[in-house]
Amino acid sequence: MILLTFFLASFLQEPVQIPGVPKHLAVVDLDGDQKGDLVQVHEGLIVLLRAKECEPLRIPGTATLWAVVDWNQNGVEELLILEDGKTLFQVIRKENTLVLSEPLLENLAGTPPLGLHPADFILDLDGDGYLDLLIPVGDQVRIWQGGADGVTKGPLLHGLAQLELRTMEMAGGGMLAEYKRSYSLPYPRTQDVTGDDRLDLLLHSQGTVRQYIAQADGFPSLPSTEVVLDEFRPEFQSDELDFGNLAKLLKYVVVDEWADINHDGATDLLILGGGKVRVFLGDEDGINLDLKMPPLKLAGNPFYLTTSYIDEDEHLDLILMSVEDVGVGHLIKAALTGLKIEFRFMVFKGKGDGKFQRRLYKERKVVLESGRIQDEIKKGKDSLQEQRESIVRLADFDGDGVSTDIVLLSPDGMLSVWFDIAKSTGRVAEIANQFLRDAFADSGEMEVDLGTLTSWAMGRTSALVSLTQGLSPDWSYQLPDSWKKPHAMIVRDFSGDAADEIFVLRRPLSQDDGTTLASELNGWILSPNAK
Amino acid sequence: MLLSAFLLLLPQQIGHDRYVIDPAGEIMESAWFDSNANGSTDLWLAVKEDGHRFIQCYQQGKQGGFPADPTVNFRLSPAVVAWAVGNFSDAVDFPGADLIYTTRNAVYLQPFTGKRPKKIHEAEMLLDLPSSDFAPLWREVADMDGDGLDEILLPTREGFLILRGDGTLVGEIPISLTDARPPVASAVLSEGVTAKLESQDLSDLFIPNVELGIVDRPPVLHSEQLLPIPSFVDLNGDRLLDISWYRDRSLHQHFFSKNAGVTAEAQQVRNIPPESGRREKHLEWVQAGGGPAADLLVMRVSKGLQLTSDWQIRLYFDAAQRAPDAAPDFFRKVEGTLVVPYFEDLNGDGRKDVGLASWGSSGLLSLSEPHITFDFLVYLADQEGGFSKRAHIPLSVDYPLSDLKTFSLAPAISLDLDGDGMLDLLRSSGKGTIEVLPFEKSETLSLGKKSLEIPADVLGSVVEVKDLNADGVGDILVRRLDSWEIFLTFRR
Repeated sequence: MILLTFFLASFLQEPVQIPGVPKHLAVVDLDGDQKGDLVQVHEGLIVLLRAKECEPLRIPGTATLWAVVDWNQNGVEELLILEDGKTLFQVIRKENTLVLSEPLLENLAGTPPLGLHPADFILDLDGDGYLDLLIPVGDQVRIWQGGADGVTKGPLLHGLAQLELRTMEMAGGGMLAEYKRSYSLPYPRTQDVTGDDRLDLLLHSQGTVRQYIAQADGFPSLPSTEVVLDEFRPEFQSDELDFGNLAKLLKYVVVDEWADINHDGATDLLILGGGKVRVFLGDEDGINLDLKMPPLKLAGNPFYLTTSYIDEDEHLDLILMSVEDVGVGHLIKAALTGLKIEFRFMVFKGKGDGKFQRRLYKERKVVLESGRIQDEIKKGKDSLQEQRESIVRLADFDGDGVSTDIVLLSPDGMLSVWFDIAKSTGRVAEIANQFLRDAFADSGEMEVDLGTLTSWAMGRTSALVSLTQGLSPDWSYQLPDSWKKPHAMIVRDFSGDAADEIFVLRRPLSQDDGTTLASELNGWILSPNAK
Repeated sequence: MLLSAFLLLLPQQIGHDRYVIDPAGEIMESAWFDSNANGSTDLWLAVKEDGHRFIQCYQQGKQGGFPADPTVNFRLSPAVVAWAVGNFSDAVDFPGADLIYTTRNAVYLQPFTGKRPKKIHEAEMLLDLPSSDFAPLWREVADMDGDGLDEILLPTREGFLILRGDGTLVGEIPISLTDARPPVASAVLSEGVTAKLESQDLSDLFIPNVELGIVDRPPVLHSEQLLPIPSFVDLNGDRLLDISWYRDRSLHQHFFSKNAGVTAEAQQVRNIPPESGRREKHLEWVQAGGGPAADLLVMRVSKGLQLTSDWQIRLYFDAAQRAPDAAPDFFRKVEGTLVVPYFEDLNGDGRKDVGLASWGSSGLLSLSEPHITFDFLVYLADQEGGFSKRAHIPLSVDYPLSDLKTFSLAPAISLDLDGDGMLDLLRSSGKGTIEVLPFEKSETLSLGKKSLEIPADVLGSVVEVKDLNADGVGDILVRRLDSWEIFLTFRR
């Protein structure tokens, strides 16, 4: 079987060699032929690879963003350039030269970071089928909203982008310190919070949650609702600081959970803070702070809440996590000798009307026991390292326009493909829910290790991979020549047949000394679909 | 505002007046600089209030003392990214401080008179985006050429730019920016504190990045650029300040000359070799003895995650003028969680000694209660240019963790606080105060009894000591979250 797949795969592979190590590569349609063209973007130049005699394009501007997006909405991605935050162009191939199109959009009035940066700033934020733009304006972000009549100016968002300006390091270090400018624009969190089938925007910044409820004509210029989470935090009293029980400090932690707990289609808000759980119901305008349920008072040191279906009914239940009293000495000793901390998981049954039963429905004591923290961290790092070095991608190998196949490239160069198993990528919540259901299936004390807790808390890491567990791959291929990282993989349609191919690249060791990395990339384009 | 005066209990008859500077907004940055050239040091703050950013100066009055309200209050333009205070212009009418502002692509000078800022230079700056929540302070300000006016070093997208206040270029040092890949995951733990999990090499090769992400999807846009923070220092003992910076094990040294300014190419590049099992923790030019030229301090710690590390402290006298492979003039190993060095004359014999403040822990493996330990180790300088082999330990304190209700960060060694002309040792009592213990003039090392106890009873407050009123005695400054408390000395 292995020999057969090797034979078939080796028959289908197409070698690719790229001199130098370009900063970025992209697969885009430059000439409208529906085939992916491979381009490199490096030192301000766009160069078409795997094609003869095509003049590169010097990217204009001093603060320019570029994006790979299906702007024409024809199922193939194009390369777009936002010059100095103002004017949007498409890169096209005209005979044997790469050129900019006529402006697609003008006067966007952005001020992105200086330099040339790839950015996924063109996206359908509200799910209406029209592309919107996120344009940085200093440390704020302007939404330009796409619609049937083109693009219109939307709200200016404060608190979405994270800007760090560093002129000194608090930790010192003398000349080891560095000046730093870091700008990060996270993927905005969108969710239909009103049940009108439009995606609304939730901004979580500096202790405030702002809801922008999408209307037929886009997002409003000001937040529809603001929830200041800090208002639920008790005022800090330094004399309450008790090094013998640091867990007391957890009362200053405010945790928010958003879920529809009364089945009206609108998302409701649960807040844990100051030893209480408060519930605010949502309506067609977002969270309504006047629609509050009686608070639930808690004992102990609760620090986490979530909702899940624990019992057999259709109502979401409330789950709280609490920790025993933990002193500094306890923690320091744990670092040296081993860790043993008791947590309590508590369930309060949901009634389906925004309220929870006040009587505890279920409780489990969870004993977290591990070796020395530094050993555990090292173990965790090793397993995380392997996970980080693997690359997982969704693909569409049958050309039906839906990516339901999974490709996994492991650190040793083993390519594995599972056809049609990723029907839904919304598995993250399912994994967490399953963990909780399992946890409450039994009674008494449960022992877990750090790894279990970590993979539960960081479920996205393994969400895709978990789909493949226990299943043999439908297609696999060991990449030759002692494949080693660093490596990269993308799945795109190079041939124009609507089905994806796999493009793998690595940076090999130099042939001169065999130890340093070579100044080139090489790899293959493979098509598992051709089996 | 004068809130109270308390007198020290001491023969020197030194007393302190207490002032509190508590602006309405949030303090973003603080600087101490004489605003009107009267010899007294004034407080400069960058403050955020009602969504706007202000630069405020609290000027000491003629009789000394700080006002409750700012003497000067400038609203910052939204275009300003960062600022500096220094003596940049030679205006005869208004001697003293001037402000420099940097924007995305220019440098402006604003005299203390409040005149409109004037553009003095154009360059694309490393800090290219203004923040509505922060106004960082440039600290690389110094009088390099001894003419009485300050120069400023600014990081740009091309490297370092060294300017006079009138826009004259003193030099440019080209350094490439370091780009950082987007992290696999990041989380803002609190304002200004972000935890990150680094991504793999080539992880950002293909655009778009379609990783599912660990906690969240990869960011829409991530741009992170770095430059080393340099040092203004007299490397060759000619009384002019030179520039030195470090990257990738190379310590670059650019000598300043009055004719040529600072050259783009370093005149000397010193290799800082790696040491197996250790990493550099601190690298700094200091004045620790030897001649007038600067001395190089290299501190390394053992690698790995541990509560207590082995620290190695090496000191090379007049390092820029000696062979790079010369043996260190001081080399000691100390165990601790954190070790902070001091180079001062602690016994009054005219020679700079080495003091090492070492923080650690004890009682962790026994059933006894864990303690935080503080030891102050002193290596006295001798006449031959060496140091005592064994450490004097004038102070060793254990703080039981359960009793540690309040704790202030304070330097171990401070200027003379009690007027006896000798330096003092500070220690946190662990109960909300800082205790002052005077060093005594001695052939060896002698520490006197507690001469003063300073209230600093807020967890996490930071204590500094400066001579703000130029009377030769240190004034005590306690930085709290949103205010300053100043204990200004007076002599009775």
